[in-house]
Amino acid sequence: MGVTQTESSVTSPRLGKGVAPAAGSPAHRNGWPFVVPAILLLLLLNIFPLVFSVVMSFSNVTTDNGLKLASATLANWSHLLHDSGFWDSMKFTVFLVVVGVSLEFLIGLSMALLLWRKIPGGGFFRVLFSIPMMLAPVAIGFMFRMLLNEQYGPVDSVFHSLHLPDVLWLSSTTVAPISVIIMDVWQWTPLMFLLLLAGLQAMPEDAIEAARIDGASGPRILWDIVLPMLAPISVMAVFLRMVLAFTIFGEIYLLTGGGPGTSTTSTTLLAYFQGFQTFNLSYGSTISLALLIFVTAIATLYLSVTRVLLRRVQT
Amino acid sequence: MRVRGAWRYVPIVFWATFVALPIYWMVITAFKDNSAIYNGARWLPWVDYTPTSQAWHDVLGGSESVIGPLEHSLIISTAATLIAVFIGSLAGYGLARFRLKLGFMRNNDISFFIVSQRIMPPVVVVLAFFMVFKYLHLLDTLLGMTIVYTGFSVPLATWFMLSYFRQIPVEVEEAAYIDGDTPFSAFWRIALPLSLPGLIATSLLTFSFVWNEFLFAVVLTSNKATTLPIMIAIQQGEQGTNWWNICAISLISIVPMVLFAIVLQRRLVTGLLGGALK
Repeated sequence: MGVTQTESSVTSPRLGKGVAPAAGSPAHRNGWPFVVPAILLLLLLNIFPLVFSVVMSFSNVTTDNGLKLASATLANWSHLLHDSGFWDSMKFTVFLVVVGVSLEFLIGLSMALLLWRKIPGGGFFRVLFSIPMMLAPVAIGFMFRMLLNEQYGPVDSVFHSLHLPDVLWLSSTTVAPISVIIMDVWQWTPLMFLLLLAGLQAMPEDAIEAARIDGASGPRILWDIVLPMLAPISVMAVFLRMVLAFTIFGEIYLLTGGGPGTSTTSTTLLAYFQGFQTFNLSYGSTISLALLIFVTAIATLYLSVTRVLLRRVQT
Repeated sequence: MRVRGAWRYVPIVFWATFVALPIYWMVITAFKDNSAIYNGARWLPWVDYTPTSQAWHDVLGGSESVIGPLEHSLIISTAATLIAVFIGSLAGYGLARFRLKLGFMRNNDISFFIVSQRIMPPVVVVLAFFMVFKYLHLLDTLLGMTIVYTGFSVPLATWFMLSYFRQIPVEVEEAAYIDGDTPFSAFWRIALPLSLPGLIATSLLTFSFVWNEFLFAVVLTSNKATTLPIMIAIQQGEQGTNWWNICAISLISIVPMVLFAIVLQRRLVTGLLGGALK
């Protein structure tokens, strides 16, 4: 399992590299019965709703009509292009993804490096650092609303006793987005930490040992050996987090409800409000599809850029 | 070494405090009542407020009983996890072991098709599910929720099981084929038992995603199939927010996960990553 092989394994299976399977190998048999259930299920439960959603976005659906779709129209999409509410929500979502995921990666990496070697109490910290990941997003939203409450919350009382100025954590349009980031970092740094720690623990010791014998300094070893070897898992962890962060909903719904104003309305939240508070299902679908197009574009760009970078790092 | 590495504890303890404080606050709030919340922050039970177990009585069978939703959550999460992990294992095994071809698509393309479904924002499908379920009378049913969550979970389950199966040497299965096993019996008797750690990790991850999911639940359930996250969300009533209930329900819902994490701490991590690291 050489280091150079790792880049291909992030997304692709080992098969199909032109190596002939051995006689009696299952590669000669018919494998379709294994894969067909998953494909059928996804066609039914993901692709069909997706197509349905596309149809809805080109039509005008109301909840009373059952499945009857009104005549085709481009109104939803042309409205979307001029809808500042939509663009504001995209701006906020991108801000959250970029700032939140970067912080989560940096803190998660630091903590993983610090707890990589066995130290007393390491097991305790590892468990503690993974707890936030297990809480329901709605519980986390409420919890931070309680912590950041401007009248009777503990953060406010600490600020008060330290004679720091009052911060309008949830009622100022400039601070509320930062509060959302703080919550997101609290919630998701654990995932980064666990994935990166596992990456460190799976690392072959010999390369590091050899460098140490050659007299390389700690920072040099970290920069030249450890971080490049950690690159594939980092790429995967950031990708996973990024995709999840684009669809943030429950946490914000309970923390700020998208406010004050629309300062913390993520795109998913906006689509939900359109669909189920104003019952404009068609326009809700349109917003959600725009988000899908954007996420797909970013994901494709990210994967192709990181593929090139990984190749460079590892040669 | 210990003395030399002591500086490490400064950032670790700093981060640990940030992680632990909200959890501590949640625990103590579950034992508070009105007076301990709305008169300013109270930090220490028995010192600056009198703890009460009222929230726990209300939540476990009293006026805000979560027993029903707890059952719904258990049924839906368990059923969806079992089905999704089974279907995901089948697909992962098929993609790891066989050469598949569908037009221009090979194994890599097919696994990309399956895994890439996960980047679809749930809000894209939830509006369509709402319309279709309304038509099929599946809104607010345990069956409907199980179906939705199964579809939602299959991509990740396939991905994890695929990378796990790739780690397992194929030779044992080849011997089974020579003994006359069918591909399915080789999968069921040999590959699946060998990948038990991966199976456990995949199931836990799937379970926790379904267990905590909120968007599908809030859109598609109203009464007969409500889950725990919904019970948390509705504690914000017109007479104010029942913070103590929210905290008690949150703590109840985290119990299974924390138990798993402590018991399977190492296995979970290695199982989760499977072949991605090798």
